[in-house]
Parts: sequence; C-alpha cells; structure tokens
Amino acid sequence: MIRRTVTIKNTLGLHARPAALFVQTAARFKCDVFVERDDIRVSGKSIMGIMMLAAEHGSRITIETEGKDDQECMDVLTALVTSDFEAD
Amino acid sequence: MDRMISGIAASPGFAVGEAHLLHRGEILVEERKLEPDEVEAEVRRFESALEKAREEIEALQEKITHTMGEEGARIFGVHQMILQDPMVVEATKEGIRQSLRNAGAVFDEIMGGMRDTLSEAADEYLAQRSLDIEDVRRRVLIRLAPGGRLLLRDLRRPVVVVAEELTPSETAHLDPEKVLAFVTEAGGRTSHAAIMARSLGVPAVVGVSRITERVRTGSLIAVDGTSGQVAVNPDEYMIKFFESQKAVFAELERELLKLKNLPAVTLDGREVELSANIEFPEGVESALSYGARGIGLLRTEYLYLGCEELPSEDKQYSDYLKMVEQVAPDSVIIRTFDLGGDKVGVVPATPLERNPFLGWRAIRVSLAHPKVFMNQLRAILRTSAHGPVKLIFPMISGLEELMQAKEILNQAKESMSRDGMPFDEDLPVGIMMEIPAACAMADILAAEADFLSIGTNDLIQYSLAVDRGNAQVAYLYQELHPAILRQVKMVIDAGHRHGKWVGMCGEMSANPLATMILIGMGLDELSMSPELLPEIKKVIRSCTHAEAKACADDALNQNTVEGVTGVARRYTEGKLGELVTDVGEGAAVYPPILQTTEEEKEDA
Repeated sequence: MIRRTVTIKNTLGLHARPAALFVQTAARFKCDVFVERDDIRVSGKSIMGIMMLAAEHGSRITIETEGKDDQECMDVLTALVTSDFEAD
Repeated sequence: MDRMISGIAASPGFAVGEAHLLHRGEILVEERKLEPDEVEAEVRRFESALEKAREEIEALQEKITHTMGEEGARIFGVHQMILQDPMVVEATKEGIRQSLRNAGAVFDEIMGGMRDTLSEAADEYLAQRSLDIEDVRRRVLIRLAPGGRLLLRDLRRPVVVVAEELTPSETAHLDPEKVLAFVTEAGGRTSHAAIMARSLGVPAVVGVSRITERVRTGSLIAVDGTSGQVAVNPDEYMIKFFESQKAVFAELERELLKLKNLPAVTLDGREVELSANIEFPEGVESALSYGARGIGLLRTEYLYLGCEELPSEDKQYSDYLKMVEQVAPDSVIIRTFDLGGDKVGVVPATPLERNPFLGWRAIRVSLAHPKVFMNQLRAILRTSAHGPVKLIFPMISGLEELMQAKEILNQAKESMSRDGMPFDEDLPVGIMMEIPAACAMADILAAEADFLSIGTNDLIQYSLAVDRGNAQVAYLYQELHPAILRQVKMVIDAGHRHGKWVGMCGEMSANPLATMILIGMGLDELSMSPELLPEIKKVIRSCTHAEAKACADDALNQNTVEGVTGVARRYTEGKLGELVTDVGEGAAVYPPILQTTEEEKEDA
C-alpha cells in the first residue's frame, strides 16, 4: 500500500473533465485507489466521489493505492495531478 | 384574498381544496415498499433502466459530435461515467436490498443528496456539475417511473391538480380518488385534461394564463368548472359560496340521474342509442352508472401509454374481456391504436415530427407494424367469442387503408382458426370518420364498412384548419358550423343509403345545443363522456323527432355559426330552460364583490 500527498496543479482543480480523466486512468489499474482530502475519503475510481471531493487548484490531496500494480498506478496518477493536464 | 381568475370551462362542477402544483418537467418519485421476493426483480429493473439511459446518452453523444464536435459531446462522457460509478450503481442496489424500497426512491435519494452537496460547493464550476448529476438523475428516473414524467398515483390526499399542461401519459396512471379538480394553463374544452376531467366527473378549468405562477403546492384553490373560473386562497365567504354551489350542482346531477334507466326516446317514439366514450377499464363503471347503453368508443391508448413494453395479446384480451362482460348485453366498440408512432416502443426513435397531427399515427402506424396490429386484432377477436364487440379503425383517409386493415384482420382470423380459437365471424368493422377526405367519399367507404362513427374533435380541426389547443385561434373551433353540419349530414346520408348505422363519438355528441340537429339529421347513436349522458337524454326525451327534423332543416339553411346557434337555441332552450349547461357561457352568478372587473379580465 502506497500513500502520497500531492498538490493539485491543474488550473481548474480536479473538476469534471480532469476528474473524468483521473477516474478513467485509475480504472485502468487493478489496484484499489483512494483519494483523501481533509477528512473525506473516496474511491479514486468513482467520478462522483472525485467530484464530491471538490479539490480546487492548489489544494492538497492524498492518493492511496493498494494492490498488484499500485506503484505504477501511483506514479501515473501523481504525474497526472501535478502536471497541468489538459486544461480547458 | 385574490379575486376570481378566468379560464375556459372544461368540465362542470365545483371544488375547493389544496392545490398540487406540477411544474413542467417535474418528476414525482414514488416510494414503494417491496416484498423480499420482489427485490431481485427490482434490482434487475434498475439495471435495465441504467442500460436504456446509457443507450440514450450514446445516441445523444453521436448526434452532438456531428453538430458540435468532440468538445460538445464530452460532457456526456461524464454522464456515462456517472452511470457506471459504483458509488451510484452499487450503492443503489445495496439500498434496494437493505431497505426493501423501490429503485426510484433509493436512486433519487442518493443522486439527490450528491446533487445538493455539489450545488453548495463554493466553486462555481463545481456547483454547475450538480446540473450533470440532476440530468442523469432525471434520465434514469424517467425510465424507472411507469408514468413517464410523473406519477399522480401516490398523492397522500385529494388535491386540485394545477399544471401548465397535462399529457395523456401523465394522466393514464392517475388515482381518480385523489383528484378534486384540474386547472391547466394550456388547452381548450376538448384538450386531454378536459376530457379526462369529464370522464372522472371532476371540475376542470383550462386556459388559465400563468396560473402556475400564482399558486403554490398547499395553497387553497377554489374551482368553478361550470363557468370557468378559479380563486386562489379564497376566504371564508368564498369557500362557503363554493360549498353551496357544489350542493346545488350535486342536486342538479341527482335530478338528471333519475333518468338513468329511462330510454333515450323522443316524444314521438324515435329511439336513439346513447353510449359512452371511455379511456380505460375503470370508466365502465361510470358509464353504466350514468345509464350508458354500451360503450360507443373504447380508446385503447392507455395500454400503450407510459408503459415500458407493448401490451401482449393476452393482457389486452384480459382487459377487453372484463369490460365486455360488464357491459353485456350491450356492446363495446373497440378502437385500434390511435397514437403517434413514437409511443409504439418497438419503433426506433423517429425524427421529431414537425406536424404530428398530420403525421405518422393511428392506422398508419398499425399498418406499418402488422405484427403489433395483429396482436391487438387477435385480442379483440378472442373477446368477440364471449360477448358483443365491434371494431373500429381510426384516421381512415381512403379506401386503400380500410382494405389493407381488413386484409390484416382476415389474416388474424385465419391465424385464430389455425389455433382453434373461436371468434365472432361477423365481427362488425367500422371506421372513424374524422378526416374531411373520408367524409367527402363517405359513400365509397360506407359500402365497405359495417358502420361509421363521426369523430368530430379531429374532423373540426382538420376541416376548419384549427388547432384546438392554440389559444389564439381556439375561437374558430366550432361545432355548430355550417361546414361541419354539412359533413355530418353527408356521412349520415351515405351510411343510410348503404344500410349502415351512423354514430358520433366526438364531443359534439355531448353538446345539448347540437342534439336536436343531430337527431333530426338521422344520427343513430351518440357516444360521449358518461357524466354528460343524462343531459342529452333529457333533450331527446323532451322533443319529438318531427321537431328535431325541423330544427335540423332550419339549421342547415343557416350561413354562419351564429345563425346555426340561434336556431339551436330557439328549439332547445324552450325544452330545457336553465338545465342546459352551456359550458363557457357561465351558469354561476357571483356576488358583485367577487366578480372580475373588466380591467382585471384584461390583465389575466
């Protein structure tokens, strides 16, 4: 199990379209994915969950992955969130 | 207290009660408890609704990609993801299993909660996403709720339903016990809400401009369906007045009901068949209680409206049989499917018709889908073995259609014979005369049909080129119009020349001012909403056929609506005096303090 705290770089935060990208990416991996913000914890494979998190630009989230490909998953998701991914 | 607001009187009577406001697009979610053995079926029903929603969105995505490109369609990608999100799907299934509640209620709770949370997000962009959740919520709920847009089935107590408009789908699953009256912004005397109200025997006022802005759910509203007025938040004085009007009206009804078992025969012995139009099985009881001699028109659309699948032959047979058994020895005339093709379900979504009234519906749809048509015909044939049944085809525009329909009926008969199922070999087959072209060639059609029934509602619209729902031109929709009288006469004469009986099932048959004219022209049967039967019977029993003929001749000599109406009034009002509820003229006289002033009428 891996946990990493990152800062959202995307100008729009983790909103609908980037959120969709995040969830679609997480779904590619076999491991469990969780995302935490403050004291809210959601599944990283749930679009509703990620939207609920309301993670704006500059906020800090903790990504947690656990399972076979958790390392790879963590790296990809981290890169996604900390780069300016496909801003609208 | 607000003053009286005017509309169009659509169904007579008085009611005072709590308003229940239905906004366009509102979805009422029903809450239902499940038996343990119903749970898995409900889960499956939920899955199927999700599947349909996915397909809908996919189709939308394709369409929008064409028109707006990838960007525009992307939001639907998010909707698809929501539909697959375990937080939604698994949570709903678990909810169904754990709480033993229906999918709609559980799903609505989950989605509603998420939507509300998101909508409060400080971030504007995020708050907007609550609209996406709402969109998906509605899309799935519509798939889950059998009534389509809304269910009036689960109201807790009787209410006055107030809406912009009421479509057949919405009222098809109504609990009649819960409706005190209807008030709508749209519509005229023959709109669906009006017809529905009359068959339920509740007051209705339509065409009440902006009433949905003036009423809230829970506010008190008084409805006068006889003169076409409503009062929002009536005070004690007004309420008392309404209650007394209600009592007067009820007394009038009781008087008329005494006629129930008396025959509809003129003073000089000419008998006329008076039967009832009904929209669903529950209507039979009402029809019989008002003294109907048979069902002159059974509209079968309720079987198709707001249901997720097409009704099977067995389901239709069982419904028809129950009705026929209740009505025997009088007969039931069953009209085949009379809706737009989009209601048929098996049909892939047709492009929105610019002019559905002139479009693909009724017999046209049936002939294009012979298998579905056969189902209905077989069900009707099976019923004919157990009691008096007649068949009628809607919207016939020429001989070709009639012959094609009869050919499919023959095939249905052959298939029944092969299956060893009995039916009435001589099942009478009639046609609705509702298209002017059909009237113009009534003689040709009368040769091939067993009877004719004039559907004046549509005939008048087609003939006078008027949309009865269009408030600006609704004044042109007139039953006592020289052109309409001529067409009716043409049909009656043609039918009789070929030895066939001719009836009328349009609302004109319930117009007491038209009765003497119609009888005088030789109409054999009048079919109408049940609660209007007693008054028409009273007209018939108050005159001689000779007088009726004189009235008809006189009326046919008139050049204008005014002329015809004058003749009709002269002959009819002498007979009945104040019992003629000339809907629209206003039977109730309000104390001056409550009357709308001229300026206020203009504002309304």
